[in-house]
Amino acid sequence: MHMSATPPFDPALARSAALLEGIVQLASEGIISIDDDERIHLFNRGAEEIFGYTAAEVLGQKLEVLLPARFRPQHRAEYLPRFANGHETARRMGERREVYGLRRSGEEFPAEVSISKVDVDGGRMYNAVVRDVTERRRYEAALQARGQELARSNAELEQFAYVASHDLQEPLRMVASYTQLLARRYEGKLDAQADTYIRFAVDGARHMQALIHDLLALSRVGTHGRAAGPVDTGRVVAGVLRWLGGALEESGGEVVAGPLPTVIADAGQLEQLFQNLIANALKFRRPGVAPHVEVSALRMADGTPRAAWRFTVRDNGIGFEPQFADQIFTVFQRLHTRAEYAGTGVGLAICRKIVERHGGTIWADGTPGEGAAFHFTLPDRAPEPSVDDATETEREVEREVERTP
Amino acid sequence: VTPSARRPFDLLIVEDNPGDVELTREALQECAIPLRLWVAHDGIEALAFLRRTDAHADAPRPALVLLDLNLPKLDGRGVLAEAKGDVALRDIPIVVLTSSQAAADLRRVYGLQANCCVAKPVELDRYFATVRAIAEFWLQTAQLPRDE
Repeated sequence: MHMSATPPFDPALARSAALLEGIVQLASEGIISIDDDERIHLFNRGAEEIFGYTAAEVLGQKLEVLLPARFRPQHRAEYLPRFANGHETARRMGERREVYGLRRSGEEFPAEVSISKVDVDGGRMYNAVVRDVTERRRYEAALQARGQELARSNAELEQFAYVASHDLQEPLRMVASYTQLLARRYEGKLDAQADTYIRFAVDGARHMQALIHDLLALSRVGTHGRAAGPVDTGRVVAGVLRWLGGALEESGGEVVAGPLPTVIADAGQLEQLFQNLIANALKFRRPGVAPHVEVSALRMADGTPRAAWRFTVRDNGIGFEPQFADQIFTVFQRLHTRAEYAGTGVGLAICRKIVERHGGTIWADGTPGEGAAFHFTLPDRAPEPSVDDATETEREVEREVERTP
Repeated sequence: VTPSARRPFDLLIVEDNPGDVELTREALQECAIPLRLWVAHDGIEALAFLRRTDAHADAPRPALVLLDLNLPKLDGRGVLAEAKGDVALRDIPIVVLTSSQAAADLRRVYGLQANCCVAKPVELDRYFATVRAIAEFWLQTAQLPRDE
């Protein structure tokens, strides 16, 4: 009987090998196998595309022909032995550290490489899947440049908005003062038409002052923010309610606050946020219905990196049509005429900017004639080491001083 | 008979914006206090007036100074520092009118011994009321050393 050196023909194995070969050749990634001696045993079509060699040119050659010269010693002395002796059987390279390949043309390219090791026939084989990430790196760099450009132009715009609205205040104060003086001295002394003109001028100037005041507040969120520190939101809300005392009493309503947490935030901005939301809740009340406002907080996703507090300010006021839920946060967007409800349409834009600056989101839902609820999240972060108790106390003292007229 | 019944008070306004000067003048007109108004348009002129130098040799000693902070040549802080550092001038009350409410600015102004610091109200009615309150307090309520 003739004994063959080759194993008996196994149709299942042959089919599997053919399938694998097809897949290997189809892949656009470069697939390369080397032996213990770093000699190349497999070099697929993808690898041919990426490196510019034909398989025939590199089979049997050392892997080093595919590496830029400056990486060869390190690869030989460090990376390969470490992987060979390590416990991992597969890993990805190029995620933490830049990896480069060398094309036949001598051109280097950034690569991402996954490697694995297998023991076959008593020997060790290494497989590598190579992706040419030149294009991706180019997009990433372009994206990063675009992002930086956007950030710079945003900062510039913000600065412009701040300077413009700040410098507009003085001349506008003159216009407003003198139209008011005109009204004070001459109202009723000219004719009815003149009185109407004067009133329009006074109202227009006043409204523009309110707009500029609020625009200034909006741009201050970005340009005059303070460092975050621990803030007791319960105390913030209590302070806001004291400040709103007059408006609250006049409305005949009540504001009920549940237990509120301490968060890491810019205290001044958080105060402004609650002030805007609670003042809104009182303002947009239904005629003849005393406003009832609830402030509450809910802890979300405890113990995860996405842990956050969700705050809600809920009222029983006029509400709004659901299709306006996003629009109301856009600057100057209003759902009512100024005759119905006074305002500039900046308040909720300020709220959104404050929340987003703190890494949270803000949204609203409402039902016409029943009420509205404004929700926002604040990430539950640990205090930043740069903020210590002394500076926070100082800041509080400063705020007290600022509030005292 | 109080001195005010005998002769008008001299009040110095230090302000470079003619619009503001006129508003203050209008506001003071509504007070029933006999006044003579003097205007300095920058900090250097204000000090010349107070020290009666240059063209101001015949200037009266004002009973009250209303001082704006943003002035050409020498700003309000410079005027304060000079006037309050001068033995001959330091008891003239100086009221600073400012549009800044920043704690640091206020602290600085009081540190320079301003007698008081008042924010310029935006609304005209409040502006008039504020100017009147200043005039009534410093000229009629507060006791100040006056030339006999």
